[in-house]
Amino acid sequence: MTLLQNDIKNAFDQIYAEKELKDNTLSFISHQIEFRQKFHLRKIKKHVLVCTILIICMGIRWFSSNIYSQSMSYIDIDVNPSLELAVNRYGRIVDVYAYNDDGSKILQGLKLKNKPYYNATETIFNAMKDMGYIKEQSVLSVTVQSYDETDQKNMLDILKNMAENFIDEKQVSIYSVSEETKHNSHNHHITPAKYLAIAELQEVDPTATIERCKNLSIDQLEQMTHGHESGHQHNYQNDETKTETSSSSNNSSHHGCGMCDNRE
Amino acid sequence: MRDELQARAAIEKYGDTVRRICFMHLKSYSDVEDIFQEVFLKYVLYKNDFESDAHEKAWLIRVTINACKDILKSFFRKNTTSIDNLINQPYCFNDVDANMDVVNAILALPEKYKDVIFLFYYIGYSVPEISHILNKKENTVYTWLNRARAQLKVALGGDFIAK
Repeated sequence: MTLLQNDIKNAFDQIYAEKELKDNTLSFISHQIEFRQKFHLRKIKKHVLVCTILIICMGIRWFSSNIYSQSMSYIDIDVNPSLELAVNRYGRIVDVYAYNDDGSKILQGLKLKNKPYYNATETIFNAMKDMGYIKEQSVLSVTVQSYDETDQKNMLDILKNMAENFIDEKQVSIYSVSEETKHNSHNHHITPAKYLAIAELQEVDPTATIERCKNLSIDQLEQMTHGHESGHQHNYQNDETKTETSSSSNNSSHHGCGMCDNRE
Repeated sequence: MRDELQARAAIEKYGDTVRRICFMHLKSYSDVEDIFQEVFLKYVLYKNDFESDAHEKAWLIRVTINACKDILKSFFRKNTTSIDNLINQPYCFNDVDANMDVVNAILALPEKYKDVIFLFYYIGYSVPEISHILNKKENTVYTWLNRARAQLKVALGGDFIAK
């Protein structure tokens, strides 16, 4: 060891960190550790909050796309206009569908989505009445198909009471249909009520096809069925022409056929 | 992040070394306090593990030297005088009379020479180690060391430098 090294060592050995300096530093460090841990905790809390909000948003999105918008029941209304309302498990309209041009006219300008089905149905009945589709002698057919039997029964009761405010109860035909009937009618682009009416006609007139009969109104179909049962033949061409003419004049003669059948 | 116990242990173990480096560079006690706190806070916040005690010590020395350089470079410090300089500083010497000539001679050296002298003669690092700590070329360290020795020789007389 050099003399210089020895002296430097001796000199610097005399220098020490004061107790006060150490204590102050330790106190500062403790405070900083505590502060940073709290800050870190706050940061974690913030992240947890953001994640929670994100999960809730995703949940809402999933709920709206999977649960809320899932159709659980279908209400088909046929006066001719023919319409379908898809109802979710909360009794709200999630989709509307017109089977024919008259149905489209009714739906024009109506905002039915997310409304309770009884309000939506009432709005449709009002529109039909205002536009002259529901008259004294009209036949109103409403079918309900639901995956829940209790819902189905409640819907039938509510819709029956409501329809009777618009038309004589003898001219109202409200009933439930099976999923299969609903599926088959939908495949042919007609309401279940019309599908069943055509099926009844086919029993007495095997030449009647869905394609030939789909433009006829339900009361016309029922009239033809009764006609066949009593031995009369019908000319489909004439009926179709009559329907088209009456439909285009928006004052159809089949609305007032005077021959109505209540399925219930 | 290291905990309070680790901070306490480090202050006990390396506090004197950090204080000695501060002593060489800083005149104001408040600056010493600032650097002391800054160095040990950096130590607490340093995320990596140290390979050994020697690594830990070298890291603290490097951080202290850099912190002192930063504070000396500060425009505010260059252009103002701390009120601390005008009042009595807490004295950090155990023995006031001990080798004051040597201490004064080292304090009179330029900043860069102080470090090499301290690291070489007091801590006992080799030139390559000092070169690594100061992030300077070995030749530069050798040059600084020689120049520092020459200046000390003038200040203290030839006997001090004799091997």
